[in-house]
Amino acid sequence: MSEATSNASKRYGLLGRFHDADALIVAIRTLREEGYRELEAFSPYPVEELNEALGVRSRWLTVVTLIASLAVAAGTYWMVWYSAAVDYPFVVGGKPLHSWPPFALIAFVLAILSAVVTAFLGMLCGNRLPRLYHPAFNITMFERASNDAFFLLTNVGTLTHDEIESLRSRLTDLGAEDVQEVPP
Amino acid sequence: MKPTERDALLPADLTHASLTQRISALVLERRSPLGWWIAVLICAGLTLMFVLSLSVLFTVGIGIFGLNIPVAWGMPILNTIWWIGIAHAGTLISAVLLLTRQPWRAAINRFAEAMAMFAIVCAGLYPVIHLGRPQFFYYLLPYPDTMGLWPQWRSPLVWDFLAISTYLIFTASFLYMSLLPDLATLRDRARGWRAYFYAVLALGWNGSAAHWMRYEKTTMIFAALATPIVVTVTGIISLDLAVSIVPGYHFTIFPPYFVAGALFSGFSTVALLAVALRSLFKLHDLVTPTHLDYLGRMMLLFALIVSYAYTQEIFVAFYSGEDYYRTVYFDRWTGPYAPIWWSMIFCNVVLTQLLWFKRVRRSPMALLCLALTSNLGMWLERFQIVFTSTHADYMPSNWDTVWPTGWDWATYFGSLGLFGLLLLIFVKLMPLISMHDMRALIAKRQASEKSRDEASPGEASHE
Repeated sequence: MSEATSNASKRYGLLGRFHDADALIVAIRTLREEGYRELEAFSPYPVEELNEALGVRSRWLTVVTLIASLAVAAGTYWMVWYSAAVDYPFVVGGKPLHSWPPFALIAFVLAILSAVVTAFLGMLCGNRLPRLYHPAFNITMFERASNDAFFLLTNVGTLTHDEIESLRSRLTDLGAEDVQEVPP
Repeated sequence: MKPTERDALLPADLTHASLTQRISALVLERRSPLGWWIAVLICAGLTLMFVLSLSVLFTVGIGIFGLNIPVAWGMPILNTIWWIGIAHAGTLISAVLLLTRQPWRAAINRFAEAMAMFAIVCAGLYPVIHLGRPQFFYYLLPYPDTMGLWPQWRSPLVWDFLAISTYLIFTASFLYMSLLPDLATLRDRARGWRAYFYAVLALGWNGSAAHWMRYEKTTMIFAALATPIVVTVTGIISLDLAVSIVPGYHFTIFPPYFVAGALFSGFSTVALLAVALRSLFKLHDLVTPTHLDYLGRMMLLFALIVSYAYTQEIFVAFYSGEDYYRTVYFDRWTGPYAPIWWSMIFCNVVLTQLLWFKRVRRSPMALLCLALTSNLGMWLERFQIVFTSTHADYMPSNWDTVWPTGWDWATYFGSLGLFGLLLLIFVKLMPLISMHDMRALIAKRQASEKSRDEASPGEASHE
């Protein structure tokens, strides 16, 4: 295998480092207008505009959490009612067999519990965590993504050598302080 | 918020890089200060005492505690209520201050959440200790057993079990999730075995926009859930008492009264930890007098609500026209437990009035002392509720006076040691200030400085 082709297949993407979030947002907008779609942005703290610029939206987490908590509330209420009024009817303290105030309280508490668990697991699943490997972790400067720098990773899996070089200079024009190739 | 207020919360020269360096060096590089070792030694000793008293309790039985009919609940339940109350401020700081976008939560939310976590651990142990046959605590769960029995759903003790378990899981999830980005920072800066340790804990967090988006969404869901959790957990614990017909317990005011008391002791404990940790780890510029000022205001607010609850409780006792309720109050003021009641009033109602003064709120020493007296006052409040209500109820033949035994105190101070030990280990393994929250705060300041410079280039330097 010749060296040129093996090099191309070993590339995952180009990683550009930016000084601040504004420069990164401008770069994302420009590259998306130019037709690059497989972009990943990294920041040391949450920046809302990044997702707008990337065109990423996701609402399922809230909806799934709501559905899960409602379902658990209904299921719990049914279980409590069935056990106390049907399966083992037993009068305590003169309270009715179907004592709805305490039953609703239990349903409420377990609804909160299921919302917590669903939201947390949903966050992990949606983010594909735990996954200890990411191609960008190979690059030393990426350590600053959890400190003070902003990164843009462009997937170049399908690009030719010349296209990669033009993307590299494009990133520098857009304000990237450093651009490095990322192996897969 | 005015720019000057935000400036008071952050040192002027703090940048993203210097913040990361300082906070992660506390974990990765700096040797522990002497004070930390001394505190660990004391807390470890107390924890050993806790283990010892639990061993004696489990072998000898519940009789080693100062529990008897009519005072069947005594110290274990009073400590449950006290510990769970301390936990609540941590949850409130992480959630309600987040929803209302208060910038002063950034520097204190991490150790407030850790405090909540370890306080719930201590709170959760006590009801199990108190069971007498602790190995059967799982009878409270609806599991398919061969006895064909179900839990008694109308009993507050079952609600209690479910609420505290929910609270524990919630707090652990919230704490771990807010740690993820900071664990990633430590992973990227650590060397050797620590890099592996933090890499596994960080689960591969890389700070991508998609990660942050779901992180923010989950944080908002958690914050929205936190308020109902705080209200239900302490509300339900208060129902353990209020659902009974014991005079002194049977008040409808109990759930909000207990929640306010919980937040009062919780904010006091956050203030206590803020003062202790900032001097132990030299964080005077990050946890500023302005933070202490805000914590002092929260203490004052909840102290006033608690004081109002005291007056209302007394009013209702007399307005009800019930002899038994009035007797409970005369007994609280003049009976065998009267010193407890008056000390409680002194700590919670009288001393807290000092917090009206700004100089007191901004003085670390004064705030530390008031935090200690407030926690003591809240402990005394729980004591007088549990002891005075039950020691003399409807039947004079049933009256008795019970005091805690040495094992009660050993268990109580032991649980304080356990709490301290867990917290001290936590601050050495995890960043004790949330780096990503602070970064967002610094970025906000930079953005507002930038817009100020653009608006008035000439005057910017004067501000």
